[in-house]
Amino acid sequence: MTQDIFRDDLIREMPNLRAFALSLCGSTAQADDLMQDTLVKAWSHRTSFQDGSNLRAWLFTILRNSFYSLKRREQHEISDSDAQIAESMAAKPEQEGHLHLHDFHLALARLPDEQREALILIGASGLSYEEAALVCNVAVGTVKSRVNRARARLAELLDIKGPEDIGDDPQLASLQSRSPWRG
Amino acid sequence: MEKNLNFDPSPGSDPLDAGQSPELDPVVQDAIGRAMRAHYQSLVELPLPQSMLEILAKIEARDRQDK
Repeated sequence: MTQDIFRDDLIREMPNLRAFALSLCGSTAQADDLMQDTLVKAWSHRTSFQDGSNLRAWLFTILRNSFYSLKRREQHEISDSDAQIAESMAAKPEQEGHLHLHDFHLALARLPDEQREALILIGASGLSYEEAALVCNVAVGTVKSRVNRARARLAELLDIKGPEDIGDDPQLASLQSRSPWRG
Repeated sequence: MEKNLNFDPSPGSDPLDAGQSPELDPVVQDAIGRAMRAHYQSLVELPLPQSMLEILAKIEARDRQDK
């Protein structure tokens, strides 16, 4: 792969890389530091990227490793992230019965890191179970059980016991503006 | 970095694996799935900070200079 193609592919993956970073971190400042670090590492290790393999998975692996080594160094900063998210949340709407995206975001933030990342990788980022297993450096079965536990825990946190608790109009698309990341 | 791309199939790497979660109702699972994708998509669609693109240009320029 030539340098130019690698750079173009890297730029194309940046929105997904940032989404993954934001999902892991909970703070934009930390996510952006992490992403910057990942870009530098990805660039300097670009010759070790295997053509034909999934660049997104490769980048996620680098970012994830940086996240956990940073987390080991700075435990206290991470614990602030929930408060930061809660603070930036809009007031809870009065509507009942709908699965609101900002409720969802809060619930997601309360999941253990490994469950949240498994759900993000499998449920949203488009990675396969095999690719997610490589990113997290665990067995495929471990990813599957983490995803299952994440879903079950989310249902619990959102107080969803059955279909009747969801409502018939989960207008999630229209709720995207409630994302705490938007100014 | 490369060593982490090696697949480690060792069983029991996650002690919590033993406890299987009960299957969620498909409607509930679907709602959570949609919320998950909507959440992620809202993050993907955020504009990238200009600094992020500048970083890449900078490391690339530095790289060229070193050669």
